[in-house]
Amino acid sequence: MKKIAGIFALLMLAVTPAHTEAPAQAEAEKPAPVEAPAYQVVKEKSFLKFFALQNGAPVEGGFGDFTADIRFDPEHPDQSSIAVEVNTASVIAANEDVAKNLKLPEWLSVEAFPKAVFKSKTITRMPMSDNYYSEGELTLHGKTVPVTLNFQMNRFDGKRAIATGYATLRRLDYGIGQGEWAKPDVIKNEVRVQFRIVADRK
Amino acid sequence: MLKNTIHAYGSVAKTFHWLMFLLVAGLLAAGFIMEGMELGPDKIRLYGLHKSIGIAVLALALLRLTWKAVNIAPPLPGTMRKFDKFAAQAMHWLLYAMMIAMPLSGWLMSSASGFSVSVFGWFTLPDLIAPDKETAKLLRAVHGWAAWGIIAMVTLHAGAALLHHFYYKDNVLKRMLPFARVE
Repeated sequence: MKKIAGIFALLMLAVTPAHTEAPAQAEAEKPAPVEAPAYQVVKEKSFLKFFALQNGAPVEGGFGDFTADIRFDPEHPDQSSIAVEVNTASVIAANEDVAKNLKLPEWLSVEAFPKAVFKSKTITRMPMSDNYYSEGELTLHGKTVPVTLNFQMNRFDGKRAIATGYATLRRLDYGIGQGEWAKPDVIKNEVRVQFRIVADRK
Repeated sequence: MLKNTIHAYGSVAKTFHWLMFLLVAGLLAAGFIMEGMELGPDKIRLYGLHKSIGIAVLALALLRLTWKAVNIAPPLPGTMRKFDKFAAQAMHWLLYAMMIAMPLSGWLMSSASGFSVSVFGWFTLPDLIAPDKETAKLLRAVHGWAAWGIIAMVTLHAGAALLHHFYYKDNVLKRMLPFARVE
């Protein structure tokens, strides 16, 4: 048993240096990362909405103010990236009182957490389609949680890009809905985010 | 007997009548209670229940009217004055109208407030109108006053039934009472 362990240790010693050196060399030879073309969001044509389920019925809301840093190339999704910053105080809802309440500390707590940020890590194109998904992280209400955006390129002509998509969040992952609201029975945990982004090539 | 006879209401009509009474009484109570509650999950839960039962009343009212249409009704006593007969029948039709108008005004009010109506979480009704603050306020007032209207109508309706039973001593009340036998 001891002998085997000794051989294994020797093997490790022999192998390890080669392993640590090789990637370092490759790193140096690798060209600077290529970035896909940048896009500018056309604000008045884009929207960011969400639907929560209250008593089983969808309650609609949205954010009027958000910015996005988008780099996109359908042929090179690996070089593409999405970063969205949302002004949480710009929350609106079909019912005014809902919007007012959402700004309070129990919910979005917009004074303490004025920004929500999504950053993509990967963007993947589904084979033979205009559907994509992006895995990334959403920082909301002071908490960072991995999320997946699903979207479809409705239009892409080199100048203008139109994408529609959705993501499903669990509000309690972010601590949204505190105290007596933390029980996800009257207002469900799952919140669906929907967006339409119209963006022009910079 | 399921069906009505010329002497008394059948069990279907009686069930409709008393079930409707219980549901409407519950809706009125819930309506007044939830209005005064502080915002919280309990208030929202009660709103959800109120809406669900309200839509159930709307559905029941339509079934009830259908049943009424395909059944005979025991006539009012011949001893009644023409005006009293008219008043009794007018009140019945007003009550039926309220069983439909009240849930509809609530549904409209929900749509105008930006809260769609889910029926016991089974399905969500389509919104009848777009959200609008002023419209919602108006419909809220209508729904609230209609509640008082229903209370007044039911009081008159029940008062008249008691008057028939204790003063005129006819079988008008008895023929709608559950388990009561009318000769």
